[in-house]
Amino acid sequence: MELLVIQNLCKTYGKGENAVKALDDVSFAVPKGQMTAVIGPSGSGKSTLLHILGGVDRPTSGTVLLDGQDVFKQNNHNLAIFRRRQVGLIYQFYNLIPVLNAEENITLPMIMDGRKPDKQQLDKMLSMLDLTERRRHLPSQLSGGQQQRVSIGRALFTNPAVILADEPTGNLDSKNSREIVDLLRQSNREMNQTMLIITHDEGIALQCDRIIALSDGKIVRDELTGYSRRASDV
Amino acid sequence: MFESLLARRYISTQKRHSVLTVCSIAIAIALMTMLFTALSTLFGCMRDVAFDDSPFHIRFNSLTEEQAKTVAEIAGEYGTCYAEEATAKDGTYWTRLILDKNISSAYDLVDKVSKKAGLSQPYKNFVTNDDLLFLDMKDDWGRGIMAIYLSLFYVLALFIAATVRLVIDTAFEVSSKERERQFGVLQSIGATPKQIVRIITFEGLLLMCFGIPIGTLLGIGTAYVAFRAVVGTGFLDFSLSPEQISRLVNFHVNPWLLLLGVLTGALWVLLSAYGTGMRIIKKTPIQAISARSNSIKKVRKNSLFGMMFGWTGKLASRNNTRQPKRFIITVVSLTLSITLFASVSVAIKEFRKAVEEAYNTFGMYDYNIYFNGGFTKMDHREPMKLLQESGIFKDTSLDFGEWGFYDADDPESDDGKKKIPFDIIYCNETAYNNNIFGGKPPIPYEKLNELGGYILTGTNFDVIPETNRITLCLQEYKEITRDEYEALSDEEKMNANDVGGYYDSETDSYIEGDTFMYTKYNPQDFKITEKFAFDELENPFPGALIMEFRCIITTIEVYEGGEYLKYKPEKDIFHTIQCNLADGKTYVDGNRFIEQNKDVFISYGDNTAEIRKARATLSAIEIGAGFLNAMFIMIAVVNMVNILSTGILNRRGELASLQCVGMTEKQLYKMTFVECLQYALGSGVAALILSEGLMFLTQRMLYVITVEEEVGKFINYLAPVPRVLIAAVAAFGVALVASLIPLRGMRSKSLVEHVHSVE
Repeated sequence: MELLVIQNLCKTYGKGENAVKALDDVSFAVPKGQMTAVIGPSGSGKSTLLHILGGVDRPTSGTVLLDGQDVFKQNNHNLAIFRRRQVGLIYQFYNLIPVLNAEENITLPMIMDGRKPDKQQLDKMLSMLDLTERRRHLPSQLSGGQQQRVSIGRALFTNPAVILADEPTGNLDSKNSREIVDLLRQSNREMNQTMLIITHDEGIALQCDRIIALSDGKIVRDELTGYSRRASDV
Repeated sequence: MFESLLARRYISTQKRHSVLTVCSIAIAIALMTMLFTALSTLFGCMRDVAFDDSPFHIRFNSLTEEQAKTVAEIAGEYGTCYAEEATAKDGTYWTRLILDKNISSAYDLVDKVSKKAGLSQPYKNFVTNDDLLFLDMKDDWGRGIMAIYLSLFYVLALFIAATVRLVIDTAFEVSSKERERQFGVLQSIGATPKQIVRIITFEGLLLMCFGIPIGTLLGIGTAYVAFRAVVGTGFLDFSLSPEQISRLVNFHVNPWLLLLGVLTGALWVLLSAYGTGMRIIKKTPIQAISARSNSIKKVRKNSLFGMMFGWTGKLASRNNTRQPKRFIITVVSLTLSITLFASVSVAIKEFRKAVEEAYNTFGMYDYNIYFNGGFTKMDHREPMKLLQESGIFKDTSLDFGEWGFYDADDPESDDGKKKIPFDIIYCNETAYNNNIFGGKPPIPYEKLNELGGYILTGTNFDVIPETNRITLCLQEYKEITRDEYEALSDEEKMNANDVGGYYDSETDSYIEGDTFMYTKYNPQDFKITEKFAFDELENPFPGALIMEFRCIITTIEVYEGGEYLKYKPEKDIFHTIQCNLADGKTYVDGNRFIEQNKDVFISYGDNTAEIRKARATLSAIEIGAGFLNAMFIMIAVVNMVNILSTGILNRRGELASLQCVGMTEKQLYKMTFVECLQYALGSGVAALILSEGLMFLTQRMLYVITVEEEVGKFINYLAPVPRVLIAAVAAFGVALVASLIPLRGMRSKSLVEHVHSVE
């Protein structure tokens, strides 16, 4: 079943002769539980695509359907709630709130929703992220890898419908990068989380179920990798 | 609530921003509090003086003891009543009513009470203390007047508050702009726009909890210091005794006015915070995170400062225009402060100059002393001698005169003649040299004495015949007895006035006297020895005796030595002697001497008292304006320090990057120098334009109000220029210091640390 459906998506910056087309009539669909890598050269529109799918930017034209619901037919208030509950965003540069500690950053979407985080669930998440010892530390007191793990924890904690990761390992060394990718795969496997990951790393891309390649705002390649979760478990 | 959690965390983490925002709020509240406290002190002192003068709102007069008690009983329902004997001790009583209830009209109340007390109708023997009624707002009229005053004051306060709003806006703008990325992240993970606005509004509320008490105390303290300084100028000494001043002139704090000031300031803070929040949520989350705009602006290749200072100037221009709103707010705030400073100091200086000139116009002497020969039976010689020999006065200047008329030919009139009025002026040497001719007499006094003639003044000299003598018909006075009066014909009696009679107040009747003054018109020849045209006077206005019609002038010695003593001391004309205080003498000495010689001098004008009063009042105004100016300067300084220092700190990564690619520290300072120069220059030019605009408007207003071209000449368009220049230079200095301190602070870390700096 198609969880995420993108139809004729366009995004243009500027007007007239200064107009820049970041996305040009992009259409595809993502079934539930699929882990998709989005690759392409700089300026191909990868981040723009991800931001639109995450509801943090609006398209110039086209539709995005999540679970059959048109994302951009909502007003700003409902769009924020959509982002809070249905989407988990992971950025290359973490984008944590510097005045909140690790566990506060992780539980922030839930707190915004007016819900009290479950302590056991939080402890489990922190343990999974290997951040139990650092739960009360501020982002400035964490290493890059730890900060990215906090960012992942924030994205996963509310168990959203889709996880969108923009170069999650772009700012990390190889060891941390492997750990992050393992975390994402673990989440995809255990929670059947649908994921779209922007990456320059071919190794990461090949670990995904599907690769979509963009160039100049258009999809130039869309293929399954043949890498299967069941196969990797075996 | 996560909004309050975040707000508290932001406040405690961003200490510098928080402190500067609290300072901005405190100054805004202080300004409002100072204004409202000044108003309550003014009204409080006025009220105390009004009550001290007449301790009642309404007083029923001319009552019997029983009536007074009855009225007190009836009127007691409206307040506190005192039935007591009248101070005149004439057997009558009065009842004083101090209202503690509000009434619609004092007159209605008097009518009601007098009717109930059975007093004769219509009852008119009452007095109202209108000042107290107004200041206590006890009746509709008083409340109406007070409402007008408070409304006018509030409009002024709001205008000032609008200026203050700029700095609070800036404080929030700066603080939130630096966190725009974080707000974008918050939105991206699900914070609704309302929640974002609530975070910033909550911050404003929390910061207000510090800013309001600090600002209130600062405002009250400043108002108190200003109050003591203003009272210290002594301008109240002319209206109140020292005992009255110490008892009645006190510092007042009206809690309601204070609350109004605080609430206005608080409202401004909340509006600023809310407005800032609303501006932030206009961007999409990704625009906020990536600091990217959907619009593409062209960058100007060349700029004025780029041409003047090279590539560092170009960079400086781009830096300042990168955030146009912040640049504009800072420049506007600076402009308003500089304009206010320049305008107020120019206005006070010009006002002081006008007062001094008016004093000079009024009289260049310390005293104008009047005596009337008709009362004193003295001619000019004895009073002059008295003053000159007192040792208290010097430079005694005397002039007096009479009038006559010249019969000129006029073919168009019935009798072929027309009467042209003439004044005949006699003056002593001091008046002749200093006053009459504007300080430039046509011939020396001694020469005029020798010639024994008169100087003819006017605008044309067609009246002078070839003989150089002019015939004027003069009034001659002769004192005659009643018998001589009765012997006159009816026509002659019309030229005689009873000067011996008097009004008897006891019998309310005029008692006729036995002495009459008989006036006769005699033609008299006057020798003309010199001519003087008015247009020869360069500046005739101050001190000069200008006759709009023709006059002849000579010396007192000519008058005294003349065979025809034209001027009788009994004539009912005031003489004016002008004089200065002798060295070492004070106005107290002068006033005392004149008071002691009341039988000689009728009255006097102490010009020094007037000018002292004016100067003291001016000093009081200057002090008050000075405090207000100081507040505005503080606002501008805090604003500029906030924006500039924050701007440097938030660009330290960028500035470090510039140094990484080879920019020297000296070049960095040069770029900062140009940025500061743009602020100072922009606000200086704008302030100059605004100041000149205000001068122009003031001039137009003066023309409309006074309808006199002369008044507009008091406007000096060059006056604001040096002040604006000084203020702009000072602003530049402050901007430079505010920028250089954080720049030098960057030395504490390496360039790489700055490039990778995380908040």
